[in-house]
Amino acid sequence: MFHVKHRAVLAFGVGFVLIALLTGCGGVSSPEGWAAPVDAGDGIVIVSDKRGELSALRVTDAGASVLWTFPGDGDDRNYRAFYATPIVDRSGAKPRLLVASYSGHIVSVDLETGQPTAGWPREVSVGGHIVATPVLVDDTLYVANAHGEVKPVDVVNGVVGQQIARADDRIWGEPVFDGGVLYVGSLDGTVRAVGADGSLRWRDDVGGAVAGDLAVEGDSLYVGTLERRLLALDATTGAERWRFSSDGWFWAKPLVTEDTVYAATVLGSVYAINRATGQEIWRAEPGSGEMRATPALAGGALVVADRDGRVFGLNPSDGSVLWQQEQSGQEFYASPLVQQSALLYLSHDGTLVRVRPQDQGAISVVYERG
Amino acid sequence: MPIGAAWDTLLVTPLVNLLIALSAIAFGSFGLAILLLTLIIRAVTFPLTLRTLKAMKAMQQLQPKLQDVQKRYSDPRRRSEETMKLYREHGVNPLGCLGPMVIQMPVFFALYGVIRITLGNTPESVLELSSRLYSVGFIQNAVPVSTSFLWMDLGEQGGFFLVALVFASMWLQQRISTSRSQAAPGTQQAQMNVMMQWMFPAMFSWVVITVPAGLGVYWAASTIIGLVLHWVFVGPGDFTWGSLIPQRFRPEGRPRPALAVSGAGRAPTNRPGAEGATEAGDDDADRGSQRQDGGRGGRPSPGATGAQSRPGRRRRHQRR
Repeated sequence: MFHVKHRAVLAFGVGFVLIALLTGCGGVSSPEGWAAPVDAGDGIVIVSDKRGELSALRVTDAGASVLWTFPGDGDDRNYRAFYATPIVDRSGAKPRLLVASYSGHIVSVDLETGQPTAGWPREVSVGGHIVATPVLVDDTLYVANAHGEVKPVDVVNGVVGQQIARADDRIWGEPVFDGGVLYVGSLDGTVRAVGADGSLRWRDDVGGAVAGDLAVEGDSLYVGTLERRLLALDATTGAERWRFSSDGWFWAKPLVTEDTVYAATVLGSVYAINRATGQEIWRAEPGSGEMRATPALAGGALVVADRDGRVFGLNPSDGSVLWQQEQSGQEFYASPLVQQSALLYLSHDGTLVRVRPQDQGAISVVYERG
Repeated sequence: MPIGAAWDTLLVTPLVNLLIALSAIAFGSFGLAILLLTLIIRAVTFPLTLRTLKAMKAMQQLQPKLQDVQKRYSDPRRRSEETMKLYREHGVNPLGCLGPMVIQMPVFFALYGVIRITLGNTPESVLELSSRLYSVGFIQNAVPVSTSFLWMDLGEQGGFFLVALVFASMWLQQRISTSRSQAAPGTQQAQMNVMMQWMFPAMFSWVVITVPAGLGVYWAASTIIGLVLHWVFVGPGDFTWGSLIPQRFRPEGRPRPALAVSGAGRAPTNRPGAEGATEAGDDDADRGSQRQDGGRGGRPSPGATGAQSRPGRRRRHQRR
């Protein structure tokens, strides 16, 4: 009797604690988004936050004021999160934002009011989570989703066309369009070059998952992989020109200049690589936080930001640290918005900070999400 | 080192890396990696499990004496003292059966975090994973892992079949480990056994519904291994597969099968009337024995059905 009582009490106790802990924690991790801030002109910057909302900010030297928020009050639509950077479209009568949400929807938002654009569907579904920033080419928005599909969306009427490419795994990196060809990387470890009509030009197995944005410059395509390699491919044929091995995953989009490729890894290393040969020029480890934000050249410095809330200015010629700043408590995943004299970084919790490279990286908060 | 950091460094992070490494070995299948991990954990804890199973077997063999004590002493305190004395004399630890479960619990909790970290579908969770991986090319290059296994997405919540598998395996484990004949009929122990047999699997099934399926796969695999070990080293007790068939579907006048023989070589048959009881009678053993305890007449004779014993109860209700 004694032992059964104790056993039962302990078993039920363990069970209830288990239920409380596990169900309390939620089943699966939830998306939070890391869309980069967007310059919408006239001093307006579009930012996103963890709650799945977009805000239009009027940014001045003194700070920022909110012009509108989407979805607005009374709009109960839930877009979950925004990883894809919104696209400003000025081709129509009224400027608008084309927004791709993690929920798998494309929404056209009036840039002046923050309301859905009249004459467009309220929202258009592409059938899968969207992480990659879509590509706008003329009247077509190419949208990649988590099913590995790339679908064209007619931005005039919001009609979704048949898929033009299909990968075996998620597409998280922004495709690039160049010379009539769309280049798409996938977590299945492949890169595809697809014509606008869906014809496959070439397909290349790059060995590791491609999670970051692709970069194209000249006739080369630059691809970072989670197999810790950065590759330069011939954009016409897909042939490998060189591959560079590092210590960590390449997730941040590489910055390609005339003769150098700058790339950061999630282990916090920054590399300068000879664009022609793929040889390492220098390597720097300014901090220890993961780097997902694209490096930027501004004010004579190569600026990189990490997940620990630190921003570094590196000497582009040798990688030495020129300055460093910290915004404690913030995590920088989103790529910066490069302005004339400053960089705007949006932290993971929705705080917009301004970094002035010419002023030793002086950092200041522009806007804090309440 | 704070507890949280120690928990992460000593349990969660090694398990993350072990699972990723196993998935690389298992052709990129995270489901197979979880099954391999289950085997490894079971192999590591096998000496403890074996000791526990031996303790359970000893408990089964001690049952006649325990029931004798319960019959002999009406004072609960005295009865408890004598029971404990009996345990001491025979070197049996009544809580010894909980060993493997207690050992597995931290792993289970850690695995919950591990699966959330490893199988997360969101970009943040994959980025988070990068900070957990050891700087070993073999492990680093194996990410992201495939989340699909059989019919399941291991990162999503468990579906019906997985829940049914967890429930069935846990029910069976409870059934054979709390053999009905161990408990004196009608006692609190017997009631507790029945309650645990249903409540415990139900609770875990609920947990499996709410957590990623990968965790359910681990728990189901671990339970099935435990079940097999129990069957091999202790035996099924008085459980027979035939007893799973509802009574009304069983052929009438079917010859009484002998009770399943335990690993000890003898089924515990100390229960009054248990010797040669039919499966039908066995099914109703607890209900029948409650009537016996309540002083409402003897146990139904062998072969008597529940329906035959009901009129008496109905009469009592009428009297009230």
